[in-house]
Amino acid sequence: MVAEQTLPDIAFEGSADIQELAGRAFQLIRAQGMFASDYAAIRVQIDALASALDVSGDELTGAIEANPQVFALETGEEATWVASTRLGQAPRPNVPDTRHSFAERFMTPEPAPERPLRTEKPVPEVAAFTEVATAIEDAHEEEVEIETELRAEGFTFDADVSVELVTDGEVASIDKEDETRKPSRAAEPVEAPEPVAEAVPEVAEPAAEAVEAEPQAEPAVVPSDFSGLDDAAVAAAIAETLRSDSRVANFGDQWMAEDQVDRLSRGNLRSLADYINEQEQPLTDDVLVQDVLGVRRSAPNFENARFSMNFRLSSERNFEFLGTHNQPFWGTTDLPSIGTTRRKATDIGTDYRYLVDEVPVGSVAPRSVRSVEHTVSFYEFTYGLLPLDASMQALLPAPVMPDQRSAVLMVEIPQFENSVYLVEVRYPTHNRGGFLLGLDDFYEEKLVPGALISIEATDNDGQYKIEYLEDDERQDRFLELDDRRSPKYVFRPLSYDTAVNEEWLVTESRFPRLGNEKPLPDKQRRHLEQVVEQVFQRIGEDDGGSLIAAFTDLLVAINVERPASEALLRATIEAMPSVSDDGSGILTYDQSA
Amino acid sequence: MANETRTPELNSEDIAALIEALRQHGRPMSTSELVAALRAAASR
Repeated sequence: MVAEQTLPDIAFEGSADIQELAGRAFQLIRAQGMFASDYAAIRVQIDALASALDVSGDELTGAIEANPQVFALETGEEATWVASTRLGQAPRPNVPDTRHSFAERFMTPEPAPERPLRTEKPVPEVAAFTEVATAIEDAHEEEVEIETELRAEGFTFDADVSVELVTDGEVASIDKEDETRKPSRAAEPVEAPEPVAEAVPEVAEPAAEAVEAEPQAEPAVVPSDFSGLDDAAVAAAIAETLRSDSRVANFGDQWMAEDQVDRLSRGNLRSLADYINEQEQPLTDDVLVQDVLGVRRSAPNFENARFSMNFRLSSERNFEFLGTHNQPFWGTTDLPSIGTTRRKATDIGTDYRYLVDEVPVGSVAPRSVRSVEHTVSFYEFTYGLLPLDASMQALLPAPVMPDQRSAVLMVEIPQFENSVYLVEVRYPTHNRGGFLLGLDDFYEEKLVPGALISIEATDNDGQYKIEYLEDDERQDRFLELDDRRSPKYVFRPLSYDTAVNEEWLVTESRFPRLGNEKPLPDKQRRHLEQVVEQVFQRIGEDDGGSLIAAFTDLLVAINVERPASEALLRATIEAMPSVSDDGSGILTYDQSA
Repeated sequence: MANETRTPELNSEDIAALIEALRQHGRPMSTSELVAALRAAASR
């Protein structure tokens, strides 16, 4: 149903009669095409229209022609038609525009752009800045004048270089600039000042000759004489100098010309990382070169391939060198960490901070002893550690690389089912002490706090042995750190059959009041004085208001909380006015002091 | 007389000799091999 019918607002042209006639003609045409769409052409024969409007054909034709924006006259073979649309616009041909289409655009290739055939690159023209060139020339001339004048006055300069050239008559390895200048000085007599005007051409000629003769002027290399120097001193000088030379590749104690070192592709690096991660442990360079890079040990390029891999990996961020000289392990940053998860390695390093002062860098010769005897303290037992103190530093190798953070050692324990442990050495830094971690399983399975062990070096600086003395089986109640929920110390029965240092046993009969104590907060543990005070409260016996404890007991009980050496504890209590030592090994803690 | 133990400074000629030795060797060299190469170059 048509709810509303609106007529288009049309302004007809012509006189009032023509406008009125055109309007009526339009209404009739519109009525004829009442079901036509807005833009469809509605055609009516002009004779029929004139008849319906009761006007002559000429009158109607005049009105139609006066309004070409509304009507169109179409002349056919038999009749003439007046056409318009319901919107009052002259009909336009409704032909699809196929001049452009997407299909055509996609299917028709774009014509090649017109461009000239490739020609030789034009030689860039060097812009000649005559002003600058003149200024440089002037500066040179001025320099020569000044030099000449100074020589005339008996003044010598740059003597170290020019004298060598004059006296030795040898060509030294000098750079191009110097080459252009030195012959001129050599040719110029020092005592004979010459007029400035003559000095200038003298300078220019040898300079030109020197530049032209450059290809043949390869300097003869004459190294210094090191005959009076120790091999170690020369080696140190070589290492120090070549490490900063980009033409030389260095890994550990080995050197190679950088341009002869093989490169590793991204694919090689990915395969190496994947292989290490699959094995879930660090692998030696030998294994990696053979298994991943496919170079056999007997191949002539094996040594080069191994050095190249080591050198290239040393600059890769996701690889870490964890080896020693004899056992060059490579790990990745994705490998699981070795050792305890009960305490962070950085916190353990902070606990051992005192070792940084006790064992200054360079004070101990690495690998200078063959074996070390050690008593495992409660702290070491709990976290599966060994301290990197002076004796352990004398046993273990130094880091291979200057910035090496840690090394992984293989520790064999023949008495304990021939087991082999991967133990990580954390080398000391400027504010953290060094230590070894990864022995927690062995300690827990076989030892008790206070056990005596012997760590022995082998010929391979990455492999060690741990041994212990076997003894009759005994039982006792030993202290343990129960950190499953709220951490606290508890006593539990343990049986053991290894030799122990009785002084270092932390048993219930010796320290009964340690049971159910909570570990001190880290903030307090860092200050040994505060730990001493707390430990006196835990183990000291009341002696008329003061607390007394044997030095050994205090040392052992302090090592429950944190590591501390005997020397450190002695130095600490000496500085504490509240603690006094009567010389018999019994310490008194005066709480009121 | 005992040899000196102070660390000497290498000049450009020494470094050039070391690099030449490395290039000619074509394989990794140890520091002690480089010391020997440097001494040999000095004696030539």
